[in-house]
Amino acid sequence: MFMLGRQTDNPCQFPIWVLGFTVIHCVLMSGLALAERSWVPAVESQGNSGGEVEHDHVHDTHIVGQSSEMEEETEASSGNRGAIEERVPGAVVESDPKDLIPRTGGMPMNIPQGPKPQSERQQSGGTHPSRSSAIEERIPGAKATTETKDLLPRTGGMPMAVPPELDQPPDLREAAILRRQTLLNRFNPAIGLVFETIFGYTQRRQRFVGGDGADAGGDVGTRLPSNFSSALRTIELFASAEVDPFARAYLIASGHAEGINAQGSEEFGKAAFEIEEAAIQTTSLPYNLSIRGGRFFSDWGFLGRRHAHDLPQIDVPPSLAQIFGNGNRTDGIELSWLVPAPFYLLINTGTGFSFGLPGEGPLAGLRRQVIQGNVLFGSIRSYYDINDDNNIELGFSGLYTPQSRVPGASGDALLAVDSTDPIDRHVFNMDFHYRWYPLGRGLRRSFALHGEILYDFGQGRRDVFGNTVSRGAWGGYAYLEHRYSKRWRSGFRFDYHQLPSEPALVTNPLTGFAGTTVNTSGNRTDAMTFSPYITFYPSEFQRFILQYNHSNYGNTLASNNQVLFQWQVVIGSHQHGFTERD
Amino acid sequence: MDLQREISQSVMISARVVARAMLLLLVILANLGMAERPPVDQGGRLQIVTSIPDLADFAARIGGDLVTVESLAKGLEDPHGVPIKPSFLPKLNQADVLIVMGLQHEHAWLTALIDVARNPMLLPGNPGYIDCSVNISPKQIPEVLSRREGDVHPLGNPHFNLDPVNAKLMAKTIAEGLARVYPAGKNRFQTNLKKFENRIDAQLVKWKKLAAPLQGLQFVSYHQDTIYFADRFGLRESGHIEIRPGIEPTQRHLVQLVERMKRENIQLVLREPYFSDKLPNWIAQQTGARVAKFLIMVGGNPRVKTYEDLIEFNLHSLLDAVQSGKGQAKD
Repeated sequence: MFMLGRQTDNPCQFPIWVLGFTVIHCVLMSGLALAERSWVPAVESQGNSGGEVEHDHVHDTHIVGQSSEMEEETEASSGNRGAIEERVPGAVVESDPKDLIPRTGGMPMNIPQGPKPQSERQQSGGTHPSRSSAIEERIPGAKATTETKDLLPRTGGMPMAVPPELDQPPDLREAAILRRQTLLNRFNPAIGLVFETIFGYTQRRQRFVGGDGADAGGDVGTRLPSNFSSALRTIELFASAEVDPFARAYLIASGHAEGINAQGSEEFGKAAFEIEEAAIQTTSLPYNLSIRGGRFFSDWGFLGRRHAHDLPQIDVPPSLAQIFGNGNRTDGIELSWLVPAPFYLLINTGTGFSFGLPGEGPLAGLRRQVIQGNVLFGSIRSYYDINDDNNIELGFSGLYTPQSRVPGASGDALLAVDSTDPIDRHVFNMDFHYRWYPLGRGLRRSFALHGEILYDFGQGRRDVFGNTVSRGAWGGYAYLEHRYSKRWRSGFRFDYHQLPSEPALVTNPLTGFAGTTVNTSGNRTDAMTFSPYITFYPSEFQRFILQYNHSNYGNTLASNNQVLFQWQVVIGSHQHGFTERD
Repeated sequence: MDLQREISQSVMISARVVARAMLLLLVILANLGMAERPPVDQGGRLQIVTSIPDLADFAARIGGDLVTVESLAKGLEDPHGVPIKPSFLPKLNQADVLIVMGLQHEHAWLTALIDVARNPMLLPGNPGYIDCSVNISPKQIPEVLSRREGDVHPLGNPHFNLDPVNAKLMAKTIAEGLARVYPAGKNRFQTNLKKFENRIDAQLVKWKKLAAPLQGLQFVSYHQDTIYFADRFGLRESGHIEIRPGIEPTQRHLVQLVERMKRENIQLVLREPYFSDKLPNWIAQQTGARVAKFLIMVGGNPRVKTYEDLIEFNLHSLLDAVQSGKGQAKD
């Protein structure tokens, strides 16, 4: 009978014969239960005071507690389990109390609509006093708002055949049903998706060709056409799950449409998918150690650890992009140690093949000086709370790669110096952070300064005359970000970098035309970019950024202007990890 | 060119020096940090970290002198938006017990931290992880799980700490959890629990009397965090300034809310401390309602040091707003 009443609440359709069968079955089961169980005494609804407490069933636990404080009953502190066992002779409650809370693993639950009218509940439930009436009777003036729907089993609209052990008070029965469901999907990884589209306007399309043939740094906007464009930069698929008690694995695959880069080719408009990360991370090594292996974004530097869509600005800071492209991606293994000190100190070291993420979409799609070859890397990072509102963070990172090659470093250079020679490279990095995040108002008002300084040193580079040289290039960026409401923030980024090689073509000193004169002086050049931006978050899962870039290229190229607009959403599971913190 | 080379060389040399200095520092630090704490039997204490200050209050009273307790979040903060500070990691790393509210109260920040804290004892399912929601009957379980509903909590509203009866159940969960980690202390924990329960029982009678004038009172709050409190003390939660949990209101929503408040004669706006008072005051101006400060955690006000202070502060704040004429939130 109890079941029958409930089924009428389910809007789902099912064959009539199933209904018939279930009705018969349920009537039989309920009959059996009524005959056997003495723990469900009928409670009449009139004028009961505390005396009826003993007959309450399990989900009234907090009511039991409350009546005790009103009436000094000894049952006061007995918990769910104890309460049931006391009140139900012979009943042994095996369930852990936590099982009383429906855990759906994020699946939508089919919940019957609204509470049933009192009369119907009593009719169908018969022997079960309604919780709210019990509360209201015993606590003068109390208004019980617990809704019946919470007490009903969730079967997704399927009829149920109830084994005897499930014929229990609703909460326990529900837990038992949930336990018995076929849980084929329960162990599936958590999955999330990011969609990101970029709209842009770029004043000039121009490129810079380095003396060693690399497209060093000439990319700021050059992959967008010299007018309006739009591009699907990222569709990111994220999946992650625990492997066993010792490890977790995750995948981040990123798709992007071939746009401007592929103009005129058959590839145009096609989407390519790429594995950005696919890694295994240990979760329970001793001595505060953790190992990550596979393909991952190394915990090195600051913004290089983040995926392009997750950056505070739309594009990767040019100084960083010049060396690593779209992030510190490496195929390798990394060991990190959280030093057991009273303050935060993390040390990280690893080795891999390749470092950096070349070409992804129209924004960052140039050949960088991304490292291809064996690489050793490491970093050390610390953090200090000045007080509740202010904190600073400092990190040092370094990497060494012997005999690595610069991808695509030949071919289309005007002065095609053969530069396929391997280069020994050292890259040093320092990142610094200051945050003002006032306690309790930090989600609405905050200020942060972040920056990185990079030094990229190469042995075996060629100068514009084709001589082998050893030399380094400085670069770095800093940005301020001010949040003035939960939805709005604005910021300003300044970026500077030297190009590691001389330009093949420079600005003609007489005519002032950029990139028209062969560089015979061997002078190098540098680039500066100024980028104000404003960000709007309608919710935590959607954001818009409007960004303006003004770039100067020294004696190489004409200065450039660019306006970018990003619209990004996140659906599904999206947990901000430790490295993505603000 | 020579200058370039010199700069390069000096950078390389200084990098080597820095690397060596760091190595030395590390060895020293590791030796300091690895020093073992004495076990609880020999005068040591259980190190407890809690997500919010209410839990720290409970844990300190149940653990007594067997424990040291620290809360990561402070009472003033938005419990769903605590910044992920690296300084939390050493605390989590060295803790024996982590006490959380559960029902995904902390999912936006604490999950990311325990993932990297290198302390498997504190991972969900392990003895050191105490989830205070296990004995609670959750309210406002969403009927639809969709982000259209905002930042919903799939398992129900996680602000159950504001009902004193739930506080007893949470304390009970903590006592059981601590006994799991340190069985020898079981009797002590139980005795302290009993003391706590009696104290809350006694207070509850008093609070109920105090709340008598609030019976049936309708109110609007900023965030959906008042239901447990309202149900316990007979108030009626009748709307929110946020359009959906965690989502700031739109203009249209505010206009509708003001209209509805006028129509239904809703005279009270609750403001949680981590929200700006701009919108509540604007609504109060439009509707003639009064604004009352409503704390959702211990420590939301410097005077509120214990759980009892919290409930009393809220009751008095509401009573003041109802009994005194128009007024803005008082601190």
